[in-house]
Amino acid sequence: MITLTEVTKSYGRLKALDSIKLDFVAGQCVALLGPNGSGKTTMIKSVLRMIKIDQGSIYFDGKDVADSHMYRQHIGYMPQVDRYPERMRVGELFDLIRGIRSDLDNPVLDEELIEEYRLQEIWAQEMFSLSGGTRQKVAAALAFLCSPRALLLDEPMAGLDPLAAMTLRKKIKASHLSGKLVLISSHLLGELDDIYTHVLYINEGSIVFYLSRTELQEATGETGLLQAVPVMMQSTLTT
Amino acid sequence: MRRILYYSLVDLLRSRVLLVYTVLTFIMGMTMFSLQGYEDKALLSLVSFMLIAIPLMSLMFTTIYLYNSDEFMLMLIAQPVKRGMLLRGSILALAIGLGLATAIGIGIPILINHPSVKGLVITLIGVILSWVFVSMSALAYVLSRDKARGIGIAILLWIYFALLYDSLALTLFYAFSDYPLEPLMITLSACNPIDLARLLIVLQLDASALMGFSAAVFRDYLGSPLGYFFAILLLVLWIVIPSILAVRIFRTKDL
Repeated sequence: MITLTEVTKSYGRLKALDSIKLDFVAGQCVALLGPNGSGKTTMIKSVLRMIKIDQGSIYFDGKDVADSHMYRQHIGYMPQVDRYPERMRVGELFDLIRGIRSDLDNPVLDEELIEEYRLQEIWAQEMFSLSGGTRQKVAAALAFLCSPRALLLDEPMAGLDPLAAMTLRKKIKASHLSGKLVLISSHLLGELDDIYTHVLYINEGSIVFYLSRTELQEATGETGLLQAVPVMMQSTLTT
Repeated sequence: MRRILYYSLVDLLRSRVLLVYTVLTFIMGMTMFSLQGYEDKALLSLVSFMLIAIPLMSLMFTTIYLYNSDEFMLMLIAQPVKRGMLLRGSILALAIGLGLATAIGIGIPILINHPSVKGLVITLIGVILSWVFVSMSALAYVLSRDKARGIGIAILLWIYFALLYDSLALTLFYAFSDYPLEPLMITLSACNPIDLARLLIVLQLDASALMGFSAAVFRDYLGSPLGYFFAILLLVLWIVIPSILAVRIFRTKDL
């Protein structure tokens, strides 16, 4: 569904992405891991064309994303930092996104998270009055709102309370099981244990390893990311 | 774009800062007229206030607003919309918001106390001036990723146009007073929207004597309808060019 070919992006002398070659297909739930500044966010942003890559191409459904902005109607995105116009009400934000989408294709709306998180109760509140966790819930509900085929989630669990995080995990699991592509960047390895199908580890803009759940288990004897990833890293360091 | 414009505008019109600015300029205008018996004098004081305050407010408010909406823009860019449209929508919303604030804060006191074509033209020039600086701040916003630096650029622009420019021009005139300076002065004024606005207002008020040498020159050059039209055209260019540049740069910028 999403293909990256030789994607390179530098900020001055620093290479944020170094000729990355990747292929993501529908039904995958990819745990995107790596230390701070390894290029996780840069990768997600370049798929959305928020940043321009220096070399290579990114394809969505076989079409170069540089050609048209319309492919983004199939993507739900949850940003790492979310801040909204202070005086905008929660309901207005949803109306705005719905409006933008309905101009195009009248998508099937997925309001499950709105109900689960009871966002209707804060519908009339202004954005600045919401706590960080609540804003994160709003962002999650927005990402899933238009039933996108691919979900790009940048640190989705950060700031969510355990219950809300569990709701989101269930939602993510249901999504990739129903054939959607899910890409999650996260530092909370344990959070992803029961949902990931593939794990992609990048460092300094290069892929360290990209394995399926079974491959990871074969290589390390573990499926828990918290245990398997350090083992994997050690073996890549020694070889 | 209609939607983005609409929702940004609703958000802006609820902004306390904009409300306080409008109310303060309104009170300022009303007191100036009530303190001074001479309406023309009051009008002049209001004009001097307006030429300093409108650019400052427009620059500060627009840059801060745009930087604060950085993450919101990111979220909108993830939607199937064109980038250029996003910034155009925000600029337009800001222009309407600040234009309204100026029209109410400056315009209503003038029209209550001094209902005339003059008053209307002064208000209109005030609104145009606020647009010029909204447009300029949009450019400052796209030129710098860093919020503090962007606001710094905006403050420098204000210091240059509102304060430094006059003394620089004056120094030039003194240094070259033996030469015919009129064409040079016209060119120089065209480079400063505040100066252009001041000239247009001075011509309206028939008070060029109060504004000294430069305005007197302009009476000859720009006093005609054609000159007036030319000056307004320049102001419009000051609105259009920075905005277009800003949208251009924004289209290919890393966010």
